[in-house]
Amino acid sequence: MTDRTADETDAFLALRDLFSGMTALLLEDEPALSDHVASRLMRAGFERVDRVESGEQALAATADTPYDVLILDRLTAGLDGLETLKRIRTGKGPSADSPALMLTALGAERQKVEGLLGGADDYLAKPVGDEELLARIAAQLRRAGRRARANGGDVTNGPFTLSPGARTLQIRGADGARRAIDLSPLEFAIICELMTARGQPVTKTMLWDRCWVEWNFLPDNFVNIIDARISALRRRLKDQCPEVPEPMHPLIVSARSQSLVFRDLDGQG
Amino acid sequence: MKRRLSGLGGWLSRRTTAQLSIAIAVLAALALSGSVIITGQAVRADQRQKAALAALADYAAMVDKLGVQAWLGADQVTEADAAYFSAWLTAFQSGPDREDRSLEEVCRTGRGGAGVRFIRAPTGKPAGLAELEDARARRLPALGEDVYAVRLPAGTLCPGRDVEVVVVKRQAGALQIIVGRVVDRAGEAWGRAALIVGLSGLLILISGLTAAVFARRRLGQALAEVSASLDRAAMGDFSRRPPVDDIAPELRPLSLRVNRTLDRLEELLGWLRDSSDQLAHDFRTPLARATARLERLEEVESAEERARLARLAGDDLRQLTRAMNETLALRDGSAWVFERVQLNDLARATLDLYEPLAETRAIRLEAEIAPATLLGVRTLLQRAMTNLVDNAVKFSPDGATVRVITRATGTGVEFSIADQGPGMQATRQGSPPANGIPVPPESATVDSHGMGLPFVRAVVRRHGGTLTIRDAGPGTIVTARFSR
Repeated sequence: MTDRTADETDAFLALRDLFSGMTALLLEDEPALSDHVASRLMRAGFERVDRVESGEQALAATADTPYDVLILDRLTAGLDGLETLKRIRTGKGPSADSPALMLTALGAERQKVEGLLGGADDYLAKPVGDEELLARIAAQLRRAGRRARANGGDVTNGPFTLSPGARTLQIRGADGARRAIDLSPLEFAIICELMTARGQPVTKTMLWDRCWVEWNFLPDNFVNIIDARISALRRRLKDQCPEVPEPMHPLIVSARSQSLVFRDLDGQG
Repeated sequence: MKRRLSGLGGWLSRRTTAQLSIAIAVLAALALSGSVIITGQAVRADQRQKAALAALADYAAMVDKLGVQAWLGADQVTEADAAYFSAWLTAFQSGPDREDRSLEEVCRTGRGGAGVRFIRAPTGKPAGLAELEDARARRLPALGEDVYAVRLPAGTLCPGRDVEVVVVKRQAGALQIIVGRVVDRAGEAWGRAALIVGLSGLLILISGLTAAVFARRRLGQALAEVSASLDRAAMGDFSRRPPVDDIAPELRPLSLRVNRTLDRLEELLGWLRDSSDQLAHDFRTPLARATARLERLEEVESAEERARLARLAGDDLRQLTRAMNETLALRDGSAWVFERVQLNDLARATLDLYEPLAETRAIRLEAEIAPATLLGVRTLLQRAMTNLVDNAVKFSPDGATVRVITRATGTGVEFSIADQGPGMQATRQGSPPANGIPVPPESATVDSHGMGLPFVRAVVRRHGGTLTIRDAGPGTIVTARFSR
């Protein structure tokens, strides 16, 4: 248990590196929420968080300042968040392509689709916990980074090679030969999400959204459902990967209360 | 062409039935009047012809009686001859075999027949009705040579009325002779025909207007009935329905449709009312608990207890969020779109989802899944089933069995979830059941078994089904039945 606690701290501490030097624009007209989110981002390592209360101010801010991430409330006085985002996206400003998270009280399926079609990269219904927000921002920044590298290829981690295109996870055996690990489609999807996060935490809600795609609602007990699924997956990985040293298991570890991380095997030899 | 037609159609469609009936009545009356006028003209032509024939006969008789004297040359006529003609003309009455009417009778009745004459000799005073020569004459070539129609205003022939005269104007030797007959103003038969036609026209007009007024009133009443029902429904009272049988036949389909819509709305509103009553409970329980815990938090000194209370209050807030999400799911647009849903597929997916979780506690998930199709809202049914399986797994002791059953019954389909948990009785002690639905206990330590049940019940009712909860001692069987 103490081991895991150490991992938890590490996984979220690792985000500090990702976030350091980053700037965010936060559009939120509720001062208490705005304070809260901004302070959490700063504490997580952001260099600067510019806060605005209206769509017009957001447009003015993005006109000449590049932001690494945009966090927009949907319902704001004057120009609303969605319209603001559409204008930022169609404009020529330096933030036109920055990843954007819609953070809003309107959480129905239809509104989510509207938000995503309006140019949002992720759409979160309030209330959103700190952990969820940071992990989601990290995911967007990772994605932006991947786009920049234009490397859609394999992900390696220690002896593991993940090929998202071929939908396989392979391990290099003691003899140097690679062999595929037998996973169900759902298990592969989970591994894929966790490994492409490259040591950064993925929340259970994010996993649910990406892996249990045919479920368009969150069951009450989804945390326990995911935990049980992850336990089974850990066992499966352990059974199929005897070459991974015992202390490295489980390969999937918890981070804080709601997140999971695939252990970084390169960093630990 | 089509546009023109549709233009006319459009114009017609903007007229009310009453307006159309009036228009038809007026057109019919106009057509009848037209036919009366045309018949009248034909009759008049006939009367003129009769008068012309009589006048020609008169002329012939006159010339015959005058004999050779009429054929004297103009220079041979003396003053004495002229006086003779004048006297003769006064004595001459009429042609040989013509019915004749006295001038007095003609002037009184307006009927024709009386003769008029005029002779002018080269010398002496002319004899007869001098106005015949001066009046404007209209040639009637169809009736014969030298035949004219002359209109004599009141005062010339008859003191009180205009008369029309058909005259023959001829020169007999040196004499200018004008002989004519008064034209019958109108034939008796025509008069009767005109009267009958006029009366029928009036009858048609009156019946048309009556029909229009009746149709308008009947439609108006029917519409008033429908509107009154809709007005009442708009205020939430669905007891009044427009009549279906005792109503204008044109409006029967509308009335039927309105009835069906009102039935549906009443059902939906009833569902909404019941559901919100039940769901309100889902909101109040965690709200009350969170409030109590936050109040305690202010008093408690121990840091450990404070952390525990804060965590529990957080759980309450999460439960509130979930209740809110469920309520929103019920009113979400997609919750109103019905499609064919395979309950067996939903059950299979739910079991797959819970399999690993059940395994961790050695709970066996048994499936008794037979095909069962239902017209419904997939997401809502899936949510309802997930809630029930979730509850069953949560409250079953380790090593127990949870059975999920879907099947078609004689009258519809049903699904059941049977668990071996503590049962509803154990968890709801102290709270009376509301509308037969177990009330979640106010226990602060265990998530209540009843939590989420109002939502499930609302979903089942949304599909016209019933939810029964049976104590299976040990355990509970929750069954949702839907009729086809």
